Amino acid sequence: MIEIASLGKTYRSLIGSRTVAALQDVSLTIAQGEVVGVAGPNGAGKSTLISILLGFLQPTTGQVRIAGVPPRRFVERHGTSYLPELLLLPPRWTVESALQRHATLARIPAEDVSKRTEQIVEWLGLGEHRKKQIRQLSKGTLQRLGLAQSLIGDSDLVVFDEPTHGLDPLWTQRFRDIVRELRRPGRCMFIASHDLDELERLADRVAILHQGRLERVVAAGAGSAEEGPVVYRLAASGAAAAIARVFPSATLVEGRNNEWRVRGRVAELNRGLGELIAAGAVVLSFAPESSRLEAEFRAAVEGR
Amino acid sequence: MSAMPIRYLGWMTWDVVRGPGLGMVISGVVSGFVISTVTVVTTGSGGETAVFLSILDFTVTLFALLATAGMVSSDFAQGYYRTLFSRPMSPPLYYLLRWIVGGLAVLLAATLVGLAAAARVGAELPLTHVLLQASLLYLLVGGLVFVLSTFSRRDWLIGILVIAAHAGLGAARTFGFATSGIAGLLYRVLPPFGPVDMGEPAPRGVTLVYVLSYGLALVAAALAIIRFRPLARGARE
Repeated sequence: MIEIASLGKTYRSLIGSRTVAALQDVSLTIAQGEVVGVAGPNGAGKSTLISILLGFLQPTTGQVRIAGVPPRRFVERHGTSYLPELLLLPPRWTVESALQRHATLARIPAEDVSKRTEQIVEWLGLGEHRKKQIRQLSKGTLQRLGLAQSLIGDSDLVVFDEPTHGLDPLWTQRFRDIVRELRRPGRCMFIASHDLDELERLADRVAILHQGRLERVVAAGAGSAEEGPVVYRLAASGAAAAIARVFPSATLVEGRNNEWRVRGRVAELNRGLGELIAAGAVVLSFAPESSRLEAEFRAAVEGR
Repeated sequence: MSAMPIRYLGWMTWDVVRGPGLGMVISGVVSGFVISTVTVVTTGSGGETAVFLSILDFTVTLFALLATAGMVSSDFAQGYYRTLFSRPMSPPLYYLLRWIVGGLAVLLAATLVGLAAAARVGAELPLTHVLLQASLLYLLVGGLVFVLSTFSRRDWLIGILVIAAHAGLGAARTFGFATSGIAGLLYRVLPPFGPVDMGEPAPRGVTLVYVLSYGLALVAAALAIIRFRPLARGARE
């Protein structure tokens, strides 16, 4: 659905004396039904990429096609569900009028605008704020309004820029459910975030940008753990000898006498755990020390 | 489906009423008061209609400035365009619609101020003439500010300077100055505000075609700039 080919974007100062390469030779294809995350440190080019995807900016080199057409044409024909990093709406609009306006612009039939607004208000818990002006909203509520306005239409292209920024843990959790609910075969979702844990939970793949370059694309989600070795933390009692036998490369965590770091593929780790339990060890906890995405991110950013 | 957000017209009208409309009401009331006062003072001298129309001309110019000031620039400066133009619609057509709504507001306000002031001083309002000149005036002033608004937040100020420059050069020409050289050229390239003065007969023939072409060219230029220039200036701007 989205084809990004050799994309480059260079910003020039007014007199052209200073240039900043925000994106360099980025190529990525996103299929229909896929959720793709974009991670990267500040200034990596995530927001520039989103601006180009929405047709707000023109690339300096390369091209982007969404469903075979340039982004601006796609957006003007079909619209997008877009949540900007910082939601900017006229401060005197009320929550309800903002949603009704966006429902109208999103071509929701006139007779359904009120119903759709009600649904979205309910969905995002904005009921008690509906008559408030936007300038009166807290950061978290404003972010929920941002999500609400982005979701009021029914677009096949969803673009979220830092979607959980400012949300409390409860709404962060709820947001994950919303993304799961939004998944459908014809819809393509693009989520830019600093939160790797978030991306790992939500995305199928995560593109890691660094200094404008696409460093790597990492499989995320439940299936990704099977792809390569991972580091887990194992806490167990009465199992030192068995652990040394089952996981020869295990190392004791500094300062802990019953916690080990074990490394291996998920299948190997599962087998090892079975052996440990059979040997009479009591497994207290077993959790990933860091995700594969985190490791890939660190490696990409540190140039390894 | 149309890329022009026709169904958004109601919200757009509401925004014009609450924004420029409020300014028009205030300036219309002040203008109506000035018209009635000055015209009553000049009654009997035979120049009351000219005075009346001259003040109305100034008022409609002010209305046109109010209706179009910041029309495009504020959406971009405040960042509102990002959510707005993620919707299925064409940005140039959105602003064209907004410009038309502004024009209708100007015509309505001009009619109301004209009728109220005429009733107050007991004069007859040449409504057709007023509407025609107000339309042409909006085409030029509104078109000019529309273009300026695509690249500057000071659109209204630059608009006022252009109008003032034209008026200054026009006055100089009546005394035989600024007829040639740079001043003469500048007068000729500035929008032709002279023929659309309410105190003057409505333009006809070639003059009318020139005024219409100039105004439409301004609007077309504004639409072309919005169409072909990138909407954002940076990743977050």
